[in-house]
Amino acid sequence: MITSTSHAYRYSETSEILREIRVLVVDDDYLTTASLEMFLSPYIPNLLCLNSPLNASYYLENHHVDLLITDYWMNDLTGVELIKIAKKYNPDICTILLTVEDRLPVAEIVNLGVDRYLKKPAMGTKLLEAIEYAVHRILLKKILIDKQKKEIELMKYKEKYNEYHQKEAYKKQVNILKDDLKDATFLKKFEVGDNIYYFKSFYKPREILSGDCYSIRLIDDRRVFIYLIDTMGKGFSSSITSINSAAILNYLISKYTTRISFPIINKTIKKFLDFIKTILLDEEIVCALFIEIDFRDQKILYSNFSMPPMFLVIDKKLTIIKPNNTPINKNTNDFKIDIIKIDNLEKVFLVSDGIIEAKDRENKIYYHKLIQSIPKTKYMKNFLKKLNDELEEIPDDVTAIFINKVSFDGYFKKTFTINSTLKDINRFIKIFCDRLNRSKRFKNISNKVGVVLSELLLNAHEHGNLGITTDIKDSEIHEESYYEKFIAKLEKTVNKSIKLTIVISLTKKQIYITIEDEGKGFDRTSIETGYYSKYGLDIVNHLTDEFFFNFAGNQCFVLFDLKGKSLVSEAIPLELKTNN
Amino acid sequence: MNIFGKDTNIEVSVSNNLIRIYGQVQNIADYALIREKIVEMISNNFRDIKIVFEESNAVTSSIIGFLLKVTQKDKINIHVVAKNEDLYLLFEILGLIDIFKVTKSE
Repeated sequence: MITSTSHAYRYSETSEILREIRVLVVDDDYLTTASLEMFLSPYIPNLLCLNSPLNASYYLENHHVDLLITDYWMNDLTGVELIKIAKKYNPDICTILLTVEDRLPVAEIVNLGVDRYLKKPAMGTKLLEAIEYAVHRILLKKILIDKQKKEIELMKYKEKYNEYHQKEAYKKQVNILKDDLKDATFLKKFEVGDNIYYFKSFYKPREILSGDCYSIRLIDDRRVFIYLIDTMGKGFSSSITSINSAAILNYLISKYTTRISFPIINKTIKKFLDFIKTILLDEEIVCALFIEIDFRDQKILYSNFSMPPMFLVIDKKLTIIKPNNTPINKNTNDFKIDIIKIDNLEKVFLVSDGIIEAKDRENKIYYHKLIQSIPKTKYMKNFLKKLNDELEEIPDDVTAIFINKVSFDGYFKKTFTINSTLKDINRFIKIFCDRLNRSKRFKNISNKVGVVLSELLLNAHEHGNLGITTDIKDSEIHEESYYEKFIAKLEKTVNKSIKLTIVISLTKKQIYITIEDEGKGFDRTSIETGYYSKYGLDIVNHLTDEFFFNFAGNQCFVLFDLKGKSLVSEAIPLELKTNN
Repeated sequence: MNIFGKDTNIEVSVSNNLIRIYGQVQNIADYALIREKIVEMISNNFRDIKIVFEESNAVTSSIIGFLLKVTQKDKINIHVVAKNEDLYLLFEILGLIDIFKVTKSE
């Protein structure tokens, strides 16, 4: 509140408001405006006094005014008429009417919403109190806006807080799920002529915390253990069961430290059941698929507790392996494990019910289309594209695992050894792609091959041979010292090379490229968390038809499918020369 | 010392805040050339830079990393014109349309 004793003035919220607002005083009496200006200007820096109500009306039309103090009786316009004009341009304007006249149109003044009426001469405490009363609406509005701003800030903070915790929860969930073979084969190394099984996975929870979970674990150099779990219900309850299931299973699998020759599936399921039954509610059920693949003995051991069937393509024919157990509940004790021989296994598709139950754009269950398309699906990319094109909406969590075989052989095979330096890598790519570019058949893909080679050779050079971690790379890029200072210095101390093999299959119309460095391998998942450097593998994934690493991460494989293009008479870059 | 080599595939032309890239962006020397030109533009006080890829159907991650650094750390406004459909799709798949204000035409 403003208090005035002999015009002494105590600062308050109102005084702060007066320093911010624009005030117009209008009176055709020069003495009145002069004395009002003298009295008010110490409190109101943005004060304008006018003697002509017509000028005042022009001013009101063109400027924002917060408070109008006007005399009632003036030439040309009355104070009431001026207030009407003012309200037309700013309905929220605060107004004080001054007059010596007792007979005023009270009803009109009240209806007009005049804030205060003062008898002249208006000066001192009375005037300041009237002003304080008049501007209380501005004060209230300011308080309201401040409050709204604070609430918005709080909401933004809460939103950010929740978003942060949801992201953290998702990271934790993904950390609990273990995918040892993400975009990888279990092989330590592969050569031309090998049949390579490699793994692709797709995991998309509908909510941050999902009822679906999966893991792909490498037991030894020939056996892979996979589980997919779908817990009943939605939301936190089912995700708690799901996360606990994944955590205990991965703990149990990690305990098989010594190389055991017998299958682990039976022991793992028994121990899992012992644990999960202690946390399941009376009516809660868990669907689960456990499979152990032995690639040397060519067999799959499986136990399927009401998950969707396994889809196997053997000799180009689809085999559907249905569940052999009922869902897991508090009373589950016994279970069955079956064995399938997998000679000539080409593909394995494992999916959760999200895909099985989804409806296509004609509102029909997608399952029938799915089983028709599986034998024809060459790569995980095609499968995901098909899902995207054909499904109206995926109603539930989706987990899909695709195990595929590629026979890595062809009529043209050549291996190049490239010095592990930026200059030699660059030179190699330039020569290689210039040769592709001169060939009619390969011209169309020469640049994409070039970009892919650039990504993979630099990956082999930087993360493999030079051993640079993603964190260090990001930090050096940020400081603009990555190539000229950091890499240049490392290149002087490291003398390694990169082996690149290109194979072209005319019958399959495919180009295969493998790149092998001399490093120990690298953590593929750490690349995904890089800030500046995470895009390389996404670019490779996008530009190639298939792409995977060996288990350690020091050898990679890319495939370009040239279906529809005749390669028979085409000149292949047989005499590729590099600096080496 | 040039550690990248000089085997570039591209040609660039610079006019004020506009850089045009002709040819297929492919290797690390292309990155080095583009970076050199953009750093020069920034040192000439251009805060809004338009990069036109006239033909290229892809870019390398080193270029993307550099452009991200320029946008995020140096606070330079980057506007990419990807005239080739495949290049536009690549930016779209990588989730970079908004950050680099990627358009298909000038």
